[in-house]
Amino acid sequence: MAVAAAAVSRPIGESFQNAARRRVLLIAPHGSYRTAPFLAAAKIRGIEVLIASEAKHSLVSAYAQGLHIDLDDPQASLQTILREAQRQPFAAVLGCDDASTELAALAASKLGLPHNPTTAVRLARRKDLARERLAQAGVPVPHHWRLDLTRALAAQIEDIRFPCVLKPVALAASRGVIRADNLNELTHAAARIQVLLARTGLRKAQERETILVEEFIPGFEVAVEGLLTHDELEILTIFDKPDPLNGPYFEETYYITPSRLDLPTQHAMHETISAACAAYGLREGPIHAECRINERGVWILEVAARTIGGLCGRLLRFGTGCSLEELVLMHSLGEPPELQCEAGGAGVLMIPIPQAGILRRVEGVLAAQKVPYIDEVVIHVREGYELVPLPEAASYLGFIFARAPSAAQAEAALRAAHACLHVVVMPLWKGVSL
Amino acid sequence: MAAIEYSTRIGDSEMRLTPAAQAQFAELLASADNEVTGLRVFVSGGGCSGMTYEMTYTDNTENNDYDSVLEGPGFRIYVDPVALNYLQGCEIDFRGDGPTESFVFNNVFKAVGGSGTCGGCGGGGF
Repeated sequence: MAVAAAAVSRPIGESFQNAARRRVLLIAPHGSYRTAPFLAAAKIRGIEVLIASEAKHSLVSAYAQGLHIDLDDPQASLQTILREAQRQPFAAVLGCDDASTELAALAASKLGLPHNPTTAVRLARRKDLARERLAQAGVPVPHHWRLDLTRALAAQIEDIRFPCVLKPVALAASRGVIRADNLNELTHAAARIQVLLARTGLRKAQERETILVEEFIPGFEVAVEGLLTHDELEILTIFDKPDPLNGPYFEETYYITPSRLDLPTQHAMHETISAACAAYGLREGPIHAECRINERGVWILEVAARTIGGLCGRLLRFGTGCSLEELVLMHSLGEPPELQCEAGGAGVLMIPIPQAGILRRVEGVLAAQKVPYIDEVVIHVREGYELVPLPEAASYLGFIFARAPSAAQAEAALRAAHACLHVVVMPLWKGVSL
Repeated sequence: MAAIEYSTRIGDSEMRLTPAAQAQFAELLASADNEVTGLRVFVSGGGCSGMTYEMTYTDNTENNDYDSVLEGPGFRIYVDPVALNYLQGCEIDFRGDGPTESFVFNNVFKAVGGSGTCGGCGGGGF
């Protein structure tokens, strides 16, 4: 079995066990945003990474030459991983996306490597199960209800309080999340989510047929990156989301760090997220949490057993320029990482899709790049491709990154850069075929 | 060897538009930006879910030599050769009388047969 392109050669004569010490299996869905940053981090740190993915016929060498598994068949995938580990052991197994964290936990447990219990990882991925567990553990959660889409809605929605938010139980990035202020809006939103769920390719019927409804929690929203070591949570950074997220859809836009929240609030956040991790049973590795803060305290929206998604991880630099992915890899190998965040502010704008249609062009990219403190403007959607906005969307138009002396300056730079962009979209008419 | 002539005009046997669709196309183009020269009809998808039939504005700066064109009063429709193959014999209608206005592609399976779904992988039928 060939190893990933990023692998580094080992010194001749190095023992089998020594080689295993720095060999990591990264389980990643094909095309994940997260794979390339992990490969780059591994290269910098001299860590051998083998990618396990379903991309047997991929043109990307790291996938094509890696371990070929089927994420839809965890037991067969596990056997493939165990066979490879027998051939050449791994020192750690990581899942970098929601789709792969459970298999990573399972494989690591079978190999006797540090891991989270699979039940904990499953809870972290399933919003409805997570809500129940948090409530049982006494962690503040909003009132919530579960809708079974295979049954008539009328009998299930009598007790729901408004305003509420409807969420698919196993999708991420605000996909399918819709606020409803009354019964009519709730019914409409449920129907819309049902159509979306039928198209998503979620493997488990229950995940396609269940909607979580929870009381809308007003407040300021943050995202938190953390690292668990033997049950202890270290917060790596807190991202403020300065734009209000009140619905009807909950599009992620600005993430700004360091947080401008006061220290008592940050401590409260640490306590609540730690309690949520303990409730799930998470104890090792990266976590990504989303919280709301209001006068009633800190509310957990989710805690995922992975790093931040998309390209946002590139914002973070620790110690002497160590990336988030380097830190996670070193942590997985039991090597003490440097946790001090770099000074100054940083931010990212997940460029919203302004309207549905066909992307014709994005004007003003060069002007946006010239805005002081802007690091990079990345447009992900190619001209001629369809743009799908939230709540059906699965991706952003692109990202703008900023690094500045302060968080406020980073945010201002992102807003100025975004103002330079003009997204030209052609309408798209979808025909009905008979 | 003599060059083979490639007809770029779409005839009735290939694709037809109902009067309602023609009127709607003309209306859409009348309200479009100056750079728009017509509408592009294209297909996407395939497999178990069948083909999706879609339309957008175009300035037709790409694939000029290979697009086929259907012109009428106030409108011009461009179709690339692959899409035209799937659209052989279809009729595009516009229905504005239901709860939602929509373009309807009638008889789209004439060229490829079947129903737009497949039973090969268990995705449809028995």
